[in-house]
Amino acid sequence: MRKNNRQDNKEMIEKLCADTWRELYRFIYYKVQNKEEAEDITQETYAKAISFINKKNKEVIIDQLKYLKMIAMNIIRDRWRAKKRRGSKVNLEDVNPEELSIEDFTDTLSVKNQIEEAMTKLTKEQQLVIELRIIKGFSVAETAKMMQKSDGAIRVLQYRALKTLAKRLEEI
Amino acid sequence: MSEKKLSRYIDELNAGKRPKEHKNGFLGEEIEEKKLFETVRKVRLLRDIEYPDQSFQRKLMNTMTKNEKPGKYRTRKKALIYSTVAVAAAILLLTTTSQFLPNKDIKIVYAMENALKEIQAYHGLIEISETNELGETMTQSKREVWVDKSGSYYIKELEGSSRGLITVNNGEQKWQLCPEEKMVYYLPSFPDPYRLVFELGNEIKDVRKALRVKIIGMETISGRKATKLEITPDGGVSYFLWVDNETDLPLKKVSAMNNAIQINVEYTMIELINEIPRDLLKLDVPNEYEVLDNNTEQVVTSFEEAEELVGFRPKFQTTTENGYFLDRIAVEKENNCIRLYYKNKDLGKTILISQRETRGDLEANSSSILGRVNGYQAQIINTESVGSIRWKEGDMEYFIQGDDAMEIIKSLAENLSGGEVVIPESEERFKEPQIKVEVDLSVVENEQKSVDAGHSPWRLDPAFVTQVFASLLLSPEGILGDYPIAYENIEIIFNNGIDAIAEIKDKNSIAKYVYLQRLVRQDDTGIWTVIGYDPIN
Repeated sequence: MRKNNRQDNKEMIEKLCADTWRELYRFIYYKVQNKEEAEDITQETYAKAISFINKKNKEVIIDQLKYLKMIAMNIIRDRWRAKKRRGSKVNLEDVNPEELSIEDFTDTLSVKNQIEEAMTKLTKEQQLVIELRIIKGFSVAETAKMMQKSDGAIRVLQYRALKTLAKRLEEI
Repeated sequence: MSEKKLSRYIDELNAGKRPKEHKNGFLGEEIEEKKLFETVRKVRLLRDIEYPDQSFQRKLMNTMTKNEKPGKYRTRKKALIYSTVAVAAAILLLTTTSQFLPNKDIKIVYAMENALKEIQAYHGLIEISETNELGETMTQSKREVWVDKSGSYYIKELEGSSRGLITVNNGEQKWQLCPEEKMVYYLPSFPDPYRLVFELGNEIKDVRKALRVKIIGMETISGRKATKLEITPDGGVSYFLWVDNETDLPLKKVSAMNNAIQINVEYTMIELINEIPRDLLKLDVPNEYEVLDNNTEQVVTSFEEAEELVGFRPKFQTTTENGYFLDRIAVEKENNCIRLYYKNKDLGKTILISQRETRGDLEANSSSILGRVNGYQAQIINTESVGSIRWKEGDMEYFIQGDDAMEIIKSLAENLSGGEVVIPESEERFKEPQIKVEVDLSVVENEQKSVDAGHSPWRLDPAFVTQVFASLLLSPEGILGDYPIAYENIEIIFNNGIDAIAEIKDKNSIAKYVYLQRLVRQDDTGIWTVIGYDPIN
């Protein structure tokens, strides 16, 4: 009987991971924008979620994905806020579902549109530096060569471009 | 926040790594810094997601079911990261960029840009011809060109009306050798308004800026296989460009038919070389030639020497940021002016800081953007080739010109003045006209095309456009003889490069303020159109 319970639990965890990891990873990636951290937080989210489920009645979790996203959000906030504090205490009450939907970049179409719209309000050079450095991921040196400018000029240009873009995004 | 810090943050994300700030929290960061980091992450939403490798799900399940502590599971191999990043980058290059450049064949544009990066110098023969509506082609001129990446060039006219004329700029001196007149003219080497027709760098820049780039087909040009492109510039007329399949460099360009004439420019020969032969960049004045020095500069060896000649000591920097070093000091005695030339030898770029003692206001320049330097009014010009900021503090006038980014010129002006440089934002316009003028955009677009083809250059000057408009308000049937409103009586009181307001100080004028806008193209090649005015009362 005990073995069966463990087997059930294992199957439940595998199913939870298989059903949700891609969507959860995507959600986290949109927030952190790097693979290393996204993998790490995805893993930590499941660890916390499973521990939580084991303690509580798993039937209370109706929307698994939403639940996982809430935990992930909390981990991200906790990590970015805290300094050198190992481990994070997850308090699900900290994240309200409405806030989660706003923060949820998986529905990114409108956000992307806003960014594209804001980008058009930059100068051609500013658009190009953002495109090359951030969207295409070229290094400062490569961008400098393409734009026929010095490395320093590229850094200054991207700084001012992002400052202007941040302002424009606030206005939208 | 430093630009370097922001750049490092971008680099770490680009490498798929967790930035330092994500590890230690954003403590200590200013709100503005957080905002900039957040903006970087938002822009990255336009990229594709970098998913983990296929074994991620299996490893995740194993870890979770074995109840292992999180954090142990980090077994990615570096090689795998790099290969994934490389594949993602390659996909990105061909996919996500299309969000910004939906009408461009990205691959060919970047192939051209990459080919250009590799060029140290080139030597070519250019043939320029005209084709009329009947399809008859006539050669206009042939020229030999030598160009290098630092901007030095040697151009010799082989055929045509200026046959024999040689124009050279070696970065320090510019001269023209005119065999017909047996004259040598010395000219300032910087800024150099001369633009070589069909210069490869400029052509590729134009393609990059174009609204649409479409592959039309393949053809053979001067014995070389080439891809034919149709290029549509922003607010301009489409033209055709042939790109060498082997070198990815432009070989031929055919303009649109304008006034029943089509201009063809073609490299009948082009070779990539390491440098321009030195003897071509050295002037040996032939016997019987007279020298006319239009360059009134006198090079001096020290600031003390310069001070003795003009009576004041210039503000200077021995080095500037971003790889610029003081290259030479010159004095223009008749203008009481000291000129400091700074060079970035790696990029072949020049910045010139001129300082002179002069009384009176800044000489008006209706085409410049009006901003402020250290609280003083400043004239700012930001063209494709050269940017400049000019301002006056007391009796000293400062003028910084450079063929580098406006940000560099701006930061130099800030260093020199010790104050802030304020360039008005493009959306700033401080008031709306009382009377709006109806504008037919299709007419304006045609006028822009006409100006692009070299007609009516006055449309690029907001003061001139105001003069014509205000004069036509007085004489709607047309203007005979002089304009009833004098050009000198028009002052541009606001100009942010997109919107401008002109004040008319003429008692005969019906309009007091005229409002203008660059409706088609918002750069120095864009024409100004009147969108409204305030009557005199």
